[in-house]
Amino acid sequence: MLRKLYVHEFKALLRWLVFVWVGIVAIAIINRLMNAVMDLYIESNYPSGELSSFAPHELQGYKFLTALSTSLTVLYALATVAGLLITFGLVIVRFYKNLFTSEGYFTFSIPVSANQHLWCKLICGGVAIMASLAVCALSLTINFLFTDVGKSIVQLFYEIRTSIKIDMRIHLFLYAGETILILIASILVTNLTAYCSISFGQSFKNKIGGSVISYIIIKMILNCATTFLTFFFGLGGTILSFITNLDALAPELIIHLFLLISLLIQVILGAVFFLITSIRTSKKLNLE
Amino acid sequence: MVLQVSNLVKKYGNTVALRGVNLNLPEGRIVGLLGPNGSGKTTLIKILAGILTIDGGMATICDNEIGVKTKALVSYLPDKSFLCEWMSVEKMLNYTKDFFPDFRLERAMEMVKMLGINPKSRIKTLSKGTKEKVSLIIAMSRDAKLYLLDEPIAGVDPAARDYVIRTIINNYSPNSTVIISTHLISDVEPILSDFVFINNGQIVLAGNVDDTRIREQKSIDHLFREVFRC
Repeated sequence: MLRKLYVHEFKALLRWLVFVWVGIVAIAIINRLMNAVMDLYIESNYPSGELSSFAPHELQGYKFLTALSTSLTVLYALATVAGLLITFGLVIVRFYKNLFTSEGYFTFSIPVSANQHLWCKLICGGVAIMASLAVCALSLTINFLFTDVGKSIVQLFYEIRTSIKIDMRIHLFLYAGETILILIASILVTNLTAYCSISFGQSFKNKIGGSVISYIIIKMILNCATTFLTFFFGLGGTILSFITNLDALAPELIIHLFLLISLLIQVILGAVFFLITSIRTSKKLNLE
Repeated sequence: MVLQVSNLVKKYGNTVALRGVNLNLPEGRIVGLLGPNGSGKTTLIKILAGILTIDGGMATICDNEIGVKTKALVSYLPDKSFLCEWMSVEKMLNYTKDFFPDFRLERAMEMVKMLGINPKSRIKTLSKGTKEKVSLIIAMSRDAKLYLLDEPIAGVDPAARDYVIRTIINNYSPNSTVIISTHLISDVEPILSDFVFINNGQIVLAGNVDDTRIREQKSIDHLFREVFRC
């Protein structure tokens, strides 16, 4: 039963996401081809590379291709951002439509608990967003692989790696792992914030308006709490460092501490939002 | 007993929708849940379907408290279309089959084709009446212990009402119980075995249809008009 729930959820998201991903990759390929055409044109028409030595009328073709190439690069950047926003939008709309509109009558009659529905939406939504990020990473690879920029980035990573001591490489590997976990947790918390807002919004006459207002209020509360916690930890950290001589800790361990605390905050936030959404969905459901 | 409800209470904020409802239904009955608008019919049905939670009292279906287990035993037809508009009719039937093992897919496909509906057509292209028929087919193609039909004939033409009544009769199992919530009593009365009158969240009157007709010398429709006279 649960397997089918997840399969159907992925199918419902994929029917639109496939087009988003194909669009991003297609624009990346077109952008890359355009850049290759630019390079070939410059090589064949301006072999010396000194464009200033040519008369303006001799540069018409170059200017046209530059304008086209720049436009495509801007389009690619916009498409990447739009693709991520559309993915998030699809995840949220799917959550809303499948649980809080008339489709919810069928959804909640399925012999599965409200919590299991929530976990399904959360996991499938999270995977969808991470897949879109992976597609964006793929599109960046398409654009920069074997180009001068791409070679510079690879060279930079190589130089960083060779200049760092072997024992520090372990910490770098752990930092990367912790950062990825924080990224995953942030994606899930972002989704849960929206889910929680929607669960409050269903109590309003205008469910969508109510969800937006709830989202704004939740974000305001979070911002105030973040400001307070930043002050509290800043003050507390200073006091703690006086008491425990925190400065004696190696810098690499302090970075781990910082990353793990960030991860813990995300986990706590996620748990709170999940709990609230679960209670509102199971006990305060309104499908009218 | 298929259904046992004891002192059931449901509140929406300060509004009490159900005030201590008591109801016991054996299997093999077709029960009319009859009452004016706002009497609590839909609230009671939603609670039994597991859509709403109870604020007081108890309800069990086949000795199971309302929850995940009872959802597998209950076939619920809400008063609004629950169909996924973006799916085709065939996909919606297969979707139902995936989550309810007791769903008789071949029977449902047969009924859809008998209505002249192309199974490949998208649900959003169907008319309102056709959507309601498809919804009813999905609900009645399950081999459930308890069927909950909320206003199945409201908003449909008289010919469609006959179709709904026929579908209910032809597809319900003698080991199951059907609860039909409606205020169009004259249309459903011929198929009812029992009735329950509900008003202001309380059961006002309940009984066997044939016995009541003989005793009161009037139809249930007439009795309803007398009991709920404005």
